[in-house]
Amino acid sequence: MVKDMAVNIKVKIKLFDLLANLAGKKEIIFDIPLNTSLEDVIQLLFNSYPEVKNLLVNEDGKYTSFLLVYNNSVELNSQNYKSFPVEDNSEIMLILPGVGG
Amino acid sequence: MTRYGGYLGKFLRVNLTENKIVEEQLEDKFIEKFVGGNGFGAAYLFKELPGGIDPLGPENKVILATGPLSGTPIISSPKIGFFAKSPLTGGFMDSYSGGHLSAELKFAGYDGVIIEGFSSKPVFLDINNGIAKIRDAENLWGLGTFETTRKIKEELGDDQYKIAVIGPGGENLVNYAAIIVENFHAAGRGGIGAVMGSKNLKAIAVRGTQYSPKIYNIDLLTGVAENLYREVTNDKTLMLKQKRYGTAGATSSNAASGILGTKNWQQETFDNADKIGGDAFADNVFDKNLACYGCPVKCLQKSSIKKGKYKRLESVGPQYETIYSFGSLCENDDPAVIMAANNMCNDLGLDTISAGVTIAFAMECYEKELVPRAEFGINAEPKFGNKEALLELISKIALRQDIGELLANGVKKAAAKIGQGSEDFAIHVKGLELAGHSARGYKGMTLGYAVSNRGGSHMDMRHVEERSGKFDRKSIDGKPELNYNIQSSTVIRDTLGYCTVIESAFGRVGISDAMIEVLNGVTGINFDKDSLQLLADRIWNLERAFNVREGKGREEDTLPPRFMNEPIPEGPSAGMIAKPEELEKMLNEYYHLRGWDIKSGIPTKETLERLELDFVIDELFQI
Repeated sequence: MVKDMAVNIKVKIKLFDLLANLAGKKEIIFDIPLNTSLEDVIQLLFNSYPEVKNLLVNEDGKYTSFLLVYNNSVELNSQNYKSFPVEDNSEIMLILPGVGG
Repeated sequence: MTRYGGYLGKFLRVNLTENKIVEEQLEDKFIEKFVGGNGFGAAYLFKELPGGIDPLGPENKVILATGPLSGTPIISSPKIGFFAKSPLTGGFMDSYSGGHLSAELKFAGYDGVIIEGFSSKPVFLDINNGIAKIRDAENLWGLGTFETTRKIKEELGDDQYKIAVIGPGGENLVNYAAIIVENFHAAGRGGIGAVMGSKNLKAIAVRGTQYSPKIYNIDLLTGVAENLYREVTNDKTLMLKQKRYGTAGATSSNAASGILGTKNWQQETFDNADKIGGDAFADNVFDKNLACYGCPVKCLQKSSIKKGKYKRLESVGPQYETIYSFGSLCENDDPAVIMAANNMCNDLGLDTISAGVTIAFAMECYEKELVPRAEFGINAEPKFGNKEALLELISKIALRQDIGELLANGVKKAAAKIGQGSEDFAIHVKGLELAGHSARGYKGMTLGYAVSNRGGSHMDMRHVEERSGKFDRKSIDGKPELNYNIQSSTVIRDTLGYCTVIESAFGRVGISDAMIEVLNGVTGINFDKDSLQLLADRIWNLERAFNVREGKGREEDTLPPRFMNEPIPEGPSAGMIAKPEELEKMLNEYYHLRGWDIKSGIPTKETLERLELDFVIDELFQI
């Protein structure tokens, strides 16, 4: 009998400015199963760094509208990024854009 | 005496030629039709200035106008508008300062001030609790804004005066001279400081403790005001990010998206963006937060340099626009130099956006061998990345020395004189140098800059909706309508007097219930969605009509050739370009939405009739 081998991939999350401050680091590498969605990666980040979750998730459970999400330098905000499949060695950037005059 | 809340019901009219000051009552019909700030400024300018006047001549006027929220308990509503015909663009110009001046003017008894004529000697205006005087300022002429502010407070014996000042930049009629307010704030854009300078008006000092605007319906307003307050203060992202970075946090996100103006927009990525990112300032430069009137966000940073050549330099900010203009745009990666440049501009009274863009233009002219080094008259080589050259050029501009004589007129006029193709990389719209939000990287901003009544301003069309991904920044679909709706909200913002920082609470796209409820609760004017939309349309068209009267139409609704001919060459947004045919398509659709003639871009008679702008029809269609 052949045992199913779990295939894991590595993803790097890059955080900027306030998010990096809250996490205490600018880069985080996760080992995750193949076919993990971006949403699941973000949840993994939230579980590991609840301060980041506290900032990004409002009381109603929705993400702040200001979060910019990139996968390998491609902006995903105008797409349905939560179901976006993450690939091996993906670099995911989370950024809070500035507002004001 | 007006029956409406939110107003003192009076403007001051100051005639510097005749040394005469009178109070003028605001008519209720005028209030209903134009409401405040932006509306008042546009109405006075259109009605009182003849077309074609010299912006730096005595016929031009400087108007200060508060909004109905100024001096009320409504959160984060500290803005005061300054209005004039711009020496930089030759068109309508409005520029808004935060701080406390707006509330102070209300507390002194006035909704606004109209300054006209020309004084034969330097003067400043002293407004103190219902009494206004024109005072001698011969001893202040030539001084920087910080020293001027200090001396006026000393002379008047009250350090609580709120003072708007020009520096040597305004005195020397630099076309983008700023008005510096309370040392920390600026009505920077479009050269209204030069208009003050042309009138020999050094400063406007205001002290108010005896008046306040009444609230029309305190019961109605209380709930609305509390909701707004909660919405802002419960927004953790907004509060924490603004407190730590102010607007400086935008550098990193723009760099990550490849839309950070670099090397005079030859590029939109900057290799050393991290060095001038939000953390570089928050960790090393910013010391504590300062607040404008009634604002819990406190996005202004008191700052200082702790080591190196500029050790002990104390200032405020800098804000993102200044980091862009004196940082990446000039290929300068040193936060201390950005702060030094910012501080010089504040003291000399220059707009940091226009100054930085103009210097970047000059550096490109030098590198392309269009202007020889000897003409610069500075010690450092004026090439990109040379920090000493950047700082030397700021002084030259403010004092109109050597190359500064040319650069003091802005990139449009400088390029016209230099020629040799320099017009292609003179980064302006209608003469106003562009802010730090990509015209190539946001299709909404492609159109937004082109049709802004000010010119290259980021304050009419806002990039934030595309920035946050709610609208696809790479598509032109729906952008004319988005421009129309966002401009409607920004017009109302500038008319009521609240700050861009809390735009999210009031709503950024179109007329919101919050705008209507706050305005009705404060004033008692019974606006609904349709009538407030009509107000926004009226004011926008009035500004447009001012520009039309000055000969500006569709041909000036365009972008710098660099953005229309050269794609972004590198980075995550590589290949994006403001294609002329895309702009033309968006303009057609936008004009249609606005009710403007498609060919000329001029508001039609029917549109002006719908907006009840009869006095505009009389002028524009008199033939």
